[in-house]
Amino acid sequence: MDEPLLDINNLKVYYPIFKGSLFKREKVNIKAVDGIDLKIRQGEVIGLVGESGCGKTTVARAIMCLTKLNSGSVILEGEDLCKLNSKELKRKRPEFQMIFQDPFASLNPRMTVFKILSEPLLYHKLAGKTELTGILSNLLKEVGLSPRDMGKYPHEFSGGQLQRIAIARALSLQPKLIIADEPVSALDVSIRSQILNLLIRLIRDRSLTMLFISHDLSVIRHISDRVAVMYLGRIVESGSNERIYSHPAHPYTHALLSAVPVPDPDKEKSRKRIILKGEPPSPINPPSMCTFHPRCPYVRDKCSTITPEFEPIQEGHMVACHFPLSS
Amino acid sequence: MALLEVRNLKTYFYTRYGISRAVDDISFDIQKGETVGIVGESGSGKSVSCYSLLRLIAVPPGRIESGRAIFNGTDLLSCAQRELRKIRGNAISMVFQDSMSSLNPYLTIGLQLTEHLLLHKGISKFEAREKAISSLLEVGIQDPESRINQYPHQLSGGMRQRVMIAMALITGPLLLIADEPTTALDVTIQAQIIDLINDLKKKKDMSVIFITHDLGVIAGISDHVLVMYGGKIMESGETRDVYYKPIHPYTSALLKSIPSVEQKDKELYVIPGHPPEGFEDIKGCVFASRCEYVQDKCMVTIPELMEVSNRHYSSCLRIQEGALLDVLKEGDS
Repeated sequence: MDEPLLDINNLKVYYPIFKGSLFKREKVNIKAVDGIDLKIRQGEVIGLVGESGCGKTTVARAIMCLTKLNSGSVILEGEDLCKLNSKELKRKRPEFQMIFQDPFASLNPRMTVFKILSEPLLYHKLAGKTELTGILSNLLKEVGLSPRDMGKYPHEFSGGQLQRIAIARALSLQPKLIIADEPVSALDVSIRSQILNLLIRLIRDRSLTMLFISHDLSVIRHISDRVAVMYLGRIVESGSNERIYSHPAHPYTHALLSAVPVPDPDKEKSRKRIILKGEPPSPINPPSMCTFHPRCPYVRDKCSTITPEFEPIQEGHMVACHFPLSS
Repeated sequence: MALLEVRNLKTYFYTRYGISRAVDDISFDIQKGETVGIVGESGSGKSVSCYSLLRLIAVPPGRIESGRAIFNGTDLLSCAQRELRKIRGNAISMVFQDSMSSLNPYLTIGLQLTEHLLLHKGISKFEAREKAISSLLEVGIQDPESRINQYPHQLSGGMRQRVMIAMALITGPLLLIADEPTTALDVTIQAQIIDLINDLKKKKDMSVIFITHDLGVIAGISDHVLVMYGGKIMESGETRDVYYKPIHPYTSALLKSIPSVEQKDKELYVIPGHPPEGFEDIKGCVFASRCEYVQDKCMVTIPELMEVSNRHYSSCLRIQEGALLDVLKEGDS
């Protein structure tokens, strides 16, 4: 097997918070990401799925070097991103770019589209001022906008169009890896399919590698080759798209899939739902051993005494569970 | 007779950018014990239409231009404020989307729960407290005796939504309006809340209006569906009819454009363009500019919502003249 493009090893990100009174402060760690291994091969789209607060976005921020790691490494093409100094990081930056969730917040309202899109190119000296207009009009056409939009400000666009601009900005540096953090969650149903189709087309045409983060299982199903399911800062199951959706092995994945509403009245009414009890526990004080055991419908004694290893149960299908569900 | 009869409701907003026709001439009925789902994208008027029923629209800039909403013989839109106040939160209650901002952070759960009871039912504080505890238990909150003294920030999102539901149901309403009650929640919690609303609805035999943008949620919960777009009702009918035999190009396109967990590698259908913002002066059908079956007459004639088959209404001119029926069905299968 060839070398992965991105190799994340034992990634841990803890956020310190302070509890107690002013004089008797106690430092506690929120274990946002608690030991994650993930490999992304060239040309692959990995879907990272999980509920709010499970650490998906922290993983994205850690890869982008936007937050400090407590331990672990993020290796992009043989270079550990966390060990680079700021100058080296600047050189490496064009190779990995991010698309954020909310286009209204991620685009500066006081800049024109031209300014927004040209800034990264000029900063990294990847284009001269004379060729900019040409590059940008091609870019805008590629994401389905018109070159005439270049002089406009963000408020003149709708949410879907803004997300197209954000995608164009991420693509402008010809990155090898794109981290997309919930890129369609803020959009309306009819717009969501437009942006999803655009992303799929770009992935195909430019043979992009992407980490696609979402809480929406149907979107992940649609776009990704492989899927990783997160729960409380850890990956509990990963495998090929087909495998995860047809034969989920971790009880959490199973419950998650059964909870997704399907737009089909007959199936909805006849379907058996696994309703999980309670809510995800706080990452400040996560349950010991298997973090899912307090909510797991199939819990046994072993689950609260021994931490399950993240092990393959089949070629390419990894699960962190003592008693994986057989299909 | 229907529990609620809405006729020709129009709510406009007068802003400095122009008149926004948020709700433009809609009519529908809610039967007793029925769950009606209102589905639409943001800005389609689904929330404003329900807020208008209880006159919760800020005036100005909003104004209810015309219409009637007959609930148990009272017209909600024209009755005196005093009369309306007796109905609001009593016979009709509401659950809002964002439980953090609709609960008062300064007051305990208990105070907020009993407020309705003291106002509407005239019982003692002690009785109200007992009732609040039993209602918390009913919505599945463990240890209600201590929860009742807590503040909203001490509860999780799913729990706060349960409190909101307990609060809405404590007066025993005939109609519950739930405005995107699960949108801010995770899927596993969403499944819990939907189950809860379904159970309570059956137990109390009330009617529910369930507003959401999620076609999946509606499929599981409602008996009847209204599809809204640009302030108008595009299609309405029994849930199965609307999903399996859509008779409006918008519904059919919407159903084709959502990704599903059940299948992959199907190119998503794309509705071109974007929804109207409400300020445009549209002469014909609001969906005409994005519709793939558009004809000249769609641009100039405002379509009425008409019954096409049994209790199944469509506001598409071409459907009404008998065209497209087979095309839309095929597209869906």
